[in-house]
Amino acid sequence: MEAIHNTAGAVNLKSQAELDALHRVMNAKAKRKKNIRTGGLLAANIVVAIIILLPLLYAVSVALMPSSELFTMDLNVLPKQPTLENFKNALENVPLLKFVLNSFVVAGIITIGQIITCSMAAFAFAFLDFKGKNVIFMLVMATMMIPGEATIISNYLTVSSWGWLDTYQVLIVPYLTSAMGIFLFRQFYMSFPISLYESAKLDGCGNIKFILKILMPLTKSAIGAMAVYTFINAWNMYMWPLLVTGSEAKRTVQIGISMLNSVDAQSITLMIAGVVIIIVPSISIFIVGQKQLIKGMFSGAVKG
Amino acid sequence: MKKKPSLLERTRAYGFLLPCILIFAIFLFYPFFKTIFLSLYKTNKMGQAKLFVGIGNYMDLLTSSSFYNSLKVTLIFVVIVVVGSMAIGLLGAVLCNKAFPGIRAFSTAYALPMAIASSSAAMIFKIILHPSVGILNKLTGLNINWVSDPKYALVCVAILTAWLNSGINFLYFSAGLGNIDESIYERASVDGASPIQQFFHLTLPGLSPIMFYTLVVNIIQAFQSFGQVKILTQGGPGESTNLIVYSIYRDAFFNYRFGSAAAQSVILFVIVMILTLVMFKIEKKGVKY
Amino acid sequence: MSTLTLRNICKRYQNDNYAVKDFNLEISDQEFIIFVGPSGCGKSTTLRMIAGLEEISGGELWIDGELSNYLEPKERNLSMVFQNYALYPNMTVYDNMAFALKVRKMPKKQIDEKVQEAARILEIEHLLERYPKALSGGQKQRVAIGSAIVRNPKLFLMDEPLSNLDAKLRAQMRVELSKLHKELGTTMIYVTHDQTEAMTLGTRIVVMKAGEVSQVDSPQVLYQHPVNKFVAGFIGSPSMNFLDVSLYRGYDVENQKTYLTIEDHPVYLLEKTARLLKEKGYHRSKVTFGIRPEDIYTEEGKEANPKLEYSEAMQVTIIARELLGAEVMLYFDLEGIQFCARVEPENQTRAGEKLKVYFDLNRIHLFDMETEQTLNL
Repeated sequence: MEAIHNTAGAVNLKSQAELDALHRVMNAKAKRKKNIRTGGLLAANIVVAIIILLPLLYAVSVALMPSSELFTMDLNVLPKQPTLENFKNALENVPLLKFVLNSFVVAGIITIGQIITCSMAAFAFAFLDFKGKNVIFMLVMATMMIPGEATIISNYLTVSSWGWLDTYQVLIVPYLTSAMGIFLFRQFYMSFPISLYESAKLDGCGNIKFILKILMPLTKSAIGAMAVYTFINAWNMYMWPLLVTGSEAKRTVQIGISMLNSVDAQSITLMIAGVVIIIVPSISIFIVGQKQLIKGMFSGAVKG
Repeated sequence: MKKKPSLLERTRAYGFLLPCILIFAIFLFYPFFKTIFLSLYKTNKMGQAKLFVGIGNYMDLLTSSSFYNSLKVTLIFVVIVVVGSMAIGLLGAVLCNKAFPGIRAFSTAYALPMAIASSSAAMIFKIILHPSVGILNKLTGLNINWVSDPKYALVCVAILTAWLNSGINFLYFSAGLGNIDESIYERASVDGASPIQQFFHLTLPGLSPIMFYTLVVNIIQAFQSFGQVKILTQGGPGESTNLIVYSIYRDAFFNYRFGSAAAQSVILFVIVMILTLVMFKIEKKGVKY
Repeated sequence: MSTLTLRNICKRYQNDNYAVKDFNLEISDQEFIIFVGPSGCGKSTTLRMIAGLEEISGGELWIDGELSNYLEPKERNLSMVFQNYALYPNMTVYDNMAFALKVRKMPKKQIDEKVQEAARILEIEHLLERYPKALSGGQKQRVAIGSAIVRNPKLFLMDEPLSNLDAKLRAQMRVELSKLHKELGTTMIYVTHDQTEAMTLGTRIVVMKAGEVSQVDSPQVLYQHPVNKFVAGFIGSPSMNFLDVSLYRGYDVENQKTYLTIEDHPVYLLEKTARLLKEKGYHRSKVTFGIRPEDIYTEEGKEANPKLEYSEAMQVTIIARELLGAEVMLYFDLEGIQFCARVEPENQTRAGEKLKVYFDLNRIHLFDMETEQTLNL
């Protein structure tokens, strides 16, 4: 009991006014500390983010510059007289819109195709029972170990022997499936009880219908993540389209844009304008789909 | 209850796997073995195997200084890229770990490079590094021809690649940080650990499982860099940026030496394979929890 | 060695919701204080405010006479055991226990002594080289406690430390914690939602409900004299039986006793109870009647305790019987409400049979129907 009185005594030494003053001083101190912390974090973030984004911001800035402005010895970070002329010229000089369309067709079909084939395969691995299931699954996973460069020469020889060079299918077909997609979908499917499949079967639900009506709606986040990731990667493909497309008609954006690369130095601004045009779709899709991507692919991948 | 699946059921299962298996077989397994096969031959310009030379292509490579240069350059490149891209990704993830105003915008910024194509990025960097109009020389007051100087070209390409690859690392590390139990930080602050001590004792070790995974993915990815070399330096000046993948491309599609290119592909595959296996061995030893 | 004063401590959120409101408490040295209440009552929030993990929105926290509202957790010199143990997964048990000392730059030799000592007290010496992943729940619990005691903190906070253990282990750890408290002689604050834990461990118990303190008392007082219906119902297992009844007062001159009726049977209150009610202005009004299961007696029980004062016999029909080894629970309905009585194990009454029961009049609790405050206190 004595101890209580002691504390109470110590506490009571101070009058209410003194106490209030103490509160104010200490509260202000604590607030300042907190503000410095948040402010410091914010400042660090702003600095790092600007450094990361610098190449992109600079590209936009150059794209808006009249080419005369670029070719000075002055420091020219921002355009003094911003103009859209470069974009116009870029679109006129090379058939950029055609390339963009090609890329959309190719990346779109690859994305849809991967989702279909990967869903089917993952369904078989997760719900069906068949001979050699484990061996086949290991084989599929092993494909992730083979780097593209180990196959690209032979693939080129194969498709050229088929007379597939310079066609849409040569850009699309080799990419219609992905081991990573199969793995991702299978992980999600394995989290559903097998009874989900059995009861659907008892209700007379066929396999295809089960995938379309039950599995796909349940794995929207994985499909979303997969779609964003696949589309961006397909949009950004470089080596394969470089090898197998020759004509303008089938070129994708990444190859098409290099055509601007070869024109004379005066048209640097024009080339960068072209780059900005073709970056916009992939960045837009990324920003829109970022949340999906993280939810479906990364939070699961880490827990694994 | 477990009954043997009927023949029909089994056939159905294979049916679902067919599209994937077919594509893997035609575009991965077959060409993989064909590459090994080709590496044992001299080919004609059409890529047809003409003359069996056994390990001749490999012997040629192993006695060629150009190939050793390629290996050396690739190794330096991979180290810079992996260290750089992981450091940037980690920095972003740590900065975005605690909630504060604008966190969404910042995390988008840190992840953004993953949405950018190597070719587009290379063209932007070409201007940034341009000796007379480039912003880098103007800002630093230097007068360096970055991509035409053998001293700097490789580093430039590597930094560009590190930037490109940092976006996905940011996502991996962010997810990894999210998986660290929040209460151990609370306990650490009660235990008296400063934020810096918390970072080195809790955050970094807590990330180590994902760190290994990310490291493997990054190494494989760095070995495959191509577009940026093709656009920025074409392997030059001299052979200072002649990464293996670019060397394969040049041998096959300019010199039409498919056999030699195939042999380089096989060597690349073996290197990546060994590195990956070693990493997994180390991981098993290193991560005890 | 620590005293603690919490004065009008509040936790307020942006939308003016209070998680904790006007929490007042004086804790003297070496006390074992329990915060108990249903989930969401603010007990953990209060503990986290003491630890410095949550900001205090209002009021003052004095630790050893020092205003501590704004101190960092590490400046408060206290230890905390978390509900999920919060062991560092990348460190061995030894390093987990040594961590707090290492970051304080204590010499290696001294750390080793302290860790070994704590490990000996908790009997985990054989686990020192293991990683947390390889430990059972009970072992993790010991390591968490060990990590907390190596620092000889002034104040020891525990946030539901036993809630993740199975029932048997929990009972065992309860005994050990009690022992540990005596050995260490530190002030302890312990949060739990389990009233059994609260009753067995605490020197004083703080019962909380919806962010406010209902009652602070020793287990004994809390049990026998709950200040309101909530505390009465929360403390004790099985819980107190409640029934809304009307109070009456006899008219005839010889029998002016105050009584209440249950199923039309009068239950005459003791003179002191009636006087208390009258002083507070409660006669001929509706009140809530409460009685604990062990204060309901059968004929045999009544004969075994002749000194108590009993109500008139009440005939009830048993609807269920539970044998719990040393005692028997009998369930019956009164005015449609299920009552539970704890009777001696020899009692053989089965479901469907009739039984006479008596209430111990000294142990009757009466509550206001609106405020739920205890009336006969």
